[in-house]
Amino acid sequence: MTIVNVENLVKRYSDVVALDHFNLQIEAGEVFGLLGPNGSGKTTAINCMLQLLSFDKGSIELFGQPMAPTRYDLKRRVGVVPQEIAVFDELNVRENIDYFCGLYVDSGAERAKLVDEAIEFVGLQDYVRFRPKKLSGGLKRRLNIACGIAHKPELVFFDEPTVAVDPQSRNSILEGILRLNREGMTVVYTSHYMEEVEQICSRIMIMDHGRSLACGTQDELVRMVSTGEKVEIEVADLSREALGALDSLAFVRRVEYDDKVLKLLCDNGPHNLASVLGLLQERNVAFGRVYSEPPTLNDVFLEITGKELRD
Amino acid sequence: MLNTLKYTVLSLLRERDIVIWVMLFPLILSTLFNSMFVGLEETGWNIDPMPVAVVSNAEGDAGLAFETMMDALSQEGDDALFAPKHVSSAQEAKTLLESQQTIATIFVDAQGWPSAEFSPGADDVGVSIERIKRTIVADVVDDFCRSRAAIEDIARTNPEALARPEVTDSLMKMADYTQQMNVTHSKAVDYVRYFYALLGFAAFMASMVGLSAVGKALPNISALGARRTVGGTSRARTLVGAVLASWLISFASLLVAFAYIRWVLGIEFGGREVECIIGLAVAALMATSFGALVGALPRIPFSAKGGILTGITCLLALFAGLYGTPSLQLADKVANSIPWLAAMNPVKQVTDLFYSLYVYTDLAPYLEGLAILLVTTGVFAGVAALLMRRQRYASL
Repeated sequence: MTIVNVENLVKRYSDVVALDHFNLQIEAGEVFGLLGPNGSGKTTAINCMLQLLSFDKGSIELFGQPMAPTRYDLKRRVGVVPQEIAVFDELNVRENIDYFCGLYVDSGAERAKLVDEAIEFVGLQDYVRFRPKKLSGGLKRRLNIACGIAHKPELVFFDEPTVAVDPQSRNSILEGILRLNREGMTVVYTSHYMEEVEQICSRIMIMDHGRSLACGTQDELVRMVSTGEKVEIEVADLSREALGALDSLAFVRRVEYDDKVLKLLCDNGPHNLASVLGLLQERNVAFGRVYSEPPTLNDVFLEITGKELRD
Repeated sequence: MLNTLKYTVLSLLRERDIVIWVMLFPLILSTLFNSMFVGLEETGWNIDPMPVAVVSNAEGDAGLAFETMMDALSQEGDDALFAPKHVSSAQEAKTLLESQQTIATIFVDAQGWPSAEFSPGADDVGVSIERIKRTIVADVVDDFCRSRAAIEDIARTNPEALARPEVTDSLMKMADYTQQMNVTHSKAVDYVRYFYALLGFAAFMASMVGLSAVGKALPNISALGARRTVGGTSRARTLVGAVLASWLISFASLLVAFAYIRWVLGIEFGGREVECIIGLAVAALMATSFGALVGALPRIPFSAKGGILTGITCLLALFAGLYGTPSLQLADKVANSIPWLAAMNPVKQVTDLFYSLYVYTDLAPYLEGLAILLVTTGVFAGVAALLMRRQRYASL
């Protein structure tokens, strides 16, 4: 079932086109990654989907129904974890979660249960009476998440939830998102950290300048680009014949041997390294350390956009 | 909406700026006012027995009548008007006057007629209470002379008349040629106006509450506002909850300030406390609306809005007479020369509301003030609603 369906969305800020005929389809049960540099239009796209921002053209459907600012029935099925920490500074952890849960759940008894579960989920049991100012950056992020997911939404938008947190908190957040997904929530995750997207997302869209540049699973994206797999092998002595044999392998694009290091650039494929090592063994070539670097999302992005992801 | 109301009230009550400026500041300022103004006013109404030197040159019993009157006015007790010092020479009296041991010298001539003399330049003395004392001495002497002259005239021309009680009663009452009556609802005490101006100031300062509450609810003002807007509760309910919470806090703060001023400091409100509370409720609504309006203004950083609001409040309070006599005179001058401008000042509107309750017997001026305040509230609320009506924004 398609949970999010965005078609031909156009959003302009004066002369700047923030979203340029943007299309997006997200299926139920996915962890969908929206990857792009700062200013690429990720947050604008989410804000349009949530009806915070007006847009010039296009249509947005959530759960198969047209989305509008007053569709509170649809909003109640959605959770939002914004990029900025958006909580009351004057309320403590429990009060904040209870307030945000109260935007979706009217029953006090039901809410109390959900709040307890959310606190436990993000591991803030020891901080329930703390106000946000007393929390570390990582704990604040966890509070922000708890406020967004306490009401157990079917669809959750995470907008760069790991900005400025330490590796432990980041890992905890990412594991939490995967747990939510396993519990049945569909997740839309925006980030400019490619390793995060690689780690948790089942499908990824790379966007820049308000456009969708590529969309698919990680393997599908890697296959879309020409960047190949790099293989480096320490070889003490390599004959010309062996070098020629390596060069004649179908998947090898380029081969170099210099300073006792053999370097190969290969087409993307599942068994490149095994084939190269097999050939060396056949010819009784002794080798030492072996490095293999398949194309990463970063390579994909660089090739698609021609620039490094920032920040 | 109850959820929004509950947590907005909680968050506002925990805001340091609101606690200091909206809740505590009026109490501190009214305490200061009390120590500054109330003491002065009481001094003015309780005059101690006035020291006067009496130099009598009366022959025989000629001075008996005046001496009897002075004795009556000098009897020990709360009503004693004079503390006379009988001296034998004019020089001795002059010395006492110059050394300020007395405020006047009363000379009684050979025929028993008194006359008062004050130190040269006494009229230049700027302290009003001293002028009042000299006026009292002069009045007493003048009254005595008038009464004696009248009695002597009647005794000479129609002595039988003095046997009639109605004539003697009339003569005895001659000094009471003025009658004390109140033309105002309460005794006119000037310093109460400072407390009313303070309540006007406090009411408008309470707009900070509305500012904060609305700032936290609008998506184009804060990230928190944006987060709340995408929630499953309608925007109208969120905003109504926020505004209602602001009004409750503002009203409660004003009630506390009013109760403190009225019952702890003992400032009079003309015995119309219920009307005062109704006025405070409307004033709190006006302040909340104005706070919401400022809070909803686009393109101004939220951090600057608090400063703008405080600045406006202080400026309006100047024209409501908060800052002492010059400010009060300025407020009166503006009210007399440009009444429509004064009527547009919400701080003065609140101030005048209490003043009308205190001064006028009729409630019509109060009701008129209340109506003006409601119209002002309506204007503020209308503009605020226009600014807040958007469901989606072109940019955030």
